[in-house]
Amino acid sequence: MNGELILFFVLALVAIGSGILMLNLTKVVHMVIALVFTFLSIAGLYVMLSAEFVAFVQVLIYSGAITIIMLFGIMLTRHDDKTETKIGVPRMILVLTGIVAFFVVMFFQINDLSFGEQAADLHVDNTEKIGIALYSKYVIPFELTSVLLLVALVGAIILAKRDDEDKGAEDNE
Amino acid sequence: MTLEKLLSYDWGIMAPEFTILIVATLLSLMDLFMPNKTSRKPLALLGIAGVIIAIVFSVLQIGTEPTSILFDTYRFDAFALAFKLLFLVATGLILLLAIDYEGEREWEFRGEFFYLLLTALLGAMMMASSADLITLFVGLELLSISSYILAGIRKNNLHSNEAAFKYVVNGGIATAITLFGMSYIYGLTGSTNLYEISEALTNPAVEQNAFLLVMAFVMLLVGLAFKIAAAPFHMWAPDVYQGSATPVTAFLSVVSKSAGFALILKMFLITFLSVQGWHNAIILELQPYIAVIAGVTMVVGNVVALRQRNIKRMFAYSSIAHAGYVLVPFVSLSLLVFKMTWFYLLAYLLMNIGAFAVIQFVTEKERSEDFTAFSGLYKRAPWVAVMMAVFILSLAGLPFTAGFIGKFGIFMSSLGTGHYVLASVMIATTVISYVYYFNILVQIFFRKGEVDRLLPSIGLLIVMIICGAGTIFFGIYPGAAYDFFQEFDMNELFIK
Amino acid sequence: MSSVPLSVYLVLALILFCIGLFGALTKRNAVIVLISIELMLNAVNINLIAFAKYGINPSITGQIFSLFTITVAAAEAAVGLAILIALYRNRKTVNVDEMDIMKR
Repeated sequence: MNGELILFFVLALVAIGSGILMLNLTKVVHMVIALVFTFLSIAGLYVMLSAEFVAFVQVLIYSGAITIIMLFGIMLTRHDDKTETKIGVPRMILVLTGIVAFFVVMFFQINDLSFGEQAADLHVDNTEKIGIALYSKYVIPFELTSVLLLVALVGAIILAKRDDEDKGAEDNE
Repeated sequence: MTLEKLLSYDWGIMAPEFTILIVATLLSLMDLFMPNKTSRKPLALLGIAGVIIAIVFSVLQIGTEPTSILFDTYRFDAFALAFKLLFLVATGLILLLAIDYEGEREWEFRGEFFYLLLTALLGAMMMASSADLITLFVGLELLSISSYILAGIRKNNLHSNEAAFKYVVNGGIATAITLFGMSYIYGLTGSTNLYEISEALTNPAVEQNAFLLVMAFVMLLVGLAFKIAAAPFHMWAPDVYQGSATPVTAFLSVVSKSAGFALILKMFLITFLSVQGWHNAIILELQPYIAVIAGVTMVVGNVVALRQRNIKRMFAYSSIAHAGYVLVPFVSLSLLVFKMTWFYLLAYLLMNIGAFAVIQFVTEKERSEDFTAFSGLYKRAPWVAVMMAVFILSLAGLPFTAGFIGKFGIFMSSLGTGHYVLASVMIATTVISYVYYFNILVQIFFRKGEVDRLLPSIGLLIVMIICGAGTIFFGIYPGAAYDFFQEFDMNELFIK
Repeated sequence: MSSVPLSVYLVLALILFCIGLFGALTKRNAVIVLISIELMLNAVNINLIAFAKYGINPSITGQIFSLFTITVAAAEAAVGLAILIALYRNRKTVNVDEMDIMKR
């Protein structure tokens, strides 16, 4: 048992614990807050995996941006405190069985997966390496992503914007 | 990498993509600066012009050597070109449909519709012409996210809202599953390049984990099965197709689905077939599963369609069934797999867009999506009724239509490779499909409806004529399409 | 040689993926469904980054891939939420069970 392993287990426990908490809490806001801890501990894992830049992005995007817009989403829509109407037990069992089966099958495959070698220098100039790869080898998907972000921007605006002239829109249905 | 190296690539080969990108950007800027209450329909014409230019560029590229830019993150080959032509033609026709879509109030001031259609097209094109998981993934998502917005663009319509939300949730789950599969593929082979992945399969370290690799590909298949709406992952399709605006439904059922097929063919065939060796066995191992998916898809699509009264919902199930048919050549995997798939997708494009043009025409005039809206159509608009009959006969797969030739080819190839069960399922479900297809025909020709004459608008008329003529032409003279397809040397797909 | 083997990262990712999948399939609140999907995508990222370091051919590619995934996830979340807000404006519900008008 050394420090790295202990750190890993602490982070992993927080991540999984918050994930399970998310499934069992009743208030929606609490669920989202629980997820923040998962996201943060995942960022910690990234640092351990010598991906400092991705860890930073993870904190910014997931713990920051996505959590905030989800909270906004909760605030803009009305939520009863108890959000859960019970879903059917047969369906619950079916989903659970399926997922457990999937888990077991995958678990036995990856449990002893190891390739031995490791890239020791990933953390050296991590950001610079990512920058170089992103702007040379992966410039086409990068530009395509910019189109995708434009689409998401336009889409989010047109869908969420209220048309004030459309007063009668509510009686549409 | 230096700038010279970067500039040394043949960027001109991307002309069709650049055209679409530029036109989409231009449209978004024009939409931004146009006065609020100006009709946005001219934008659609510009969009069509862009698509036509892109088609011209693509046609000029026929016969060009395979070209790869930046380690296959963009790759031009005959496979990509053949599928891109399908996407372009389909999107052009759908833009024509969209011009005359009336929708609801304020619809004609919505310019976003047209450029979102183009960005979705761009995503589909990138899916066809890349051999790198990252680009393929970004292209897939560009198509998906544009489609989510398109599905929800009638934002004051509750059906549309629900459709979009269901689409985004189901699509999101599918994306996550696809990516989970991709992450294992990357991990086991150490590369995102499809050709390098294929080579890495011979690595002993990978062979030890062959089962995990198969699981990864199964996940990939599950995620993409969502995209093409194959059973049992088709549940979103009926709701989404019903709730979206008719041109969007046509887009989802044709372009989105064909792009999914292009991606499936590409991923599986490049990775498993381009290197000889033991891993050919993987695809043989996967075959029974794909066969089951194909069979179940055909049965579910055709049987559930029988109960539908909403015409768009009925066509959603019909399009699910057609996804099943297109999966059959992938199971039988004869040498003709590309030819069969491509021809069927071409026929499907023509007949389905044509049918949606008629559906849009009728549902708009009648303000009803119930299939009784078609009653007495023959008296009211005889030519439209005849066109609809052609499309439906083709969808049902009767002789002298493109649908028949496509289905017959698929049927023969599955017999030729000994997949008798699948072939008989195909026949049986085709017979079932006659029931609901002919139900519509009965409504059109034998039921009495309103008596006033209906006239389609010019855009719809053009679409109907192109699709109708194409359906009949390729039905009587399929050699034209096959000869054209001979221009594309599909072996290029396997040349690194 | 690191003391934390590759497989435990993968198992962690698998657990998170399953939690996310379970949440997405069973939770009735639309916001939670969206956030469960984000959790699934996070699991994918752990996989990618673990493979980037301990995989068969360690390289920066995995990290690049995860950056693309994060970007796309954010875009998807934004669009999903915008659609939810448009839906809420017309329907006043965020309960997935009540989204069934087309089946009636």
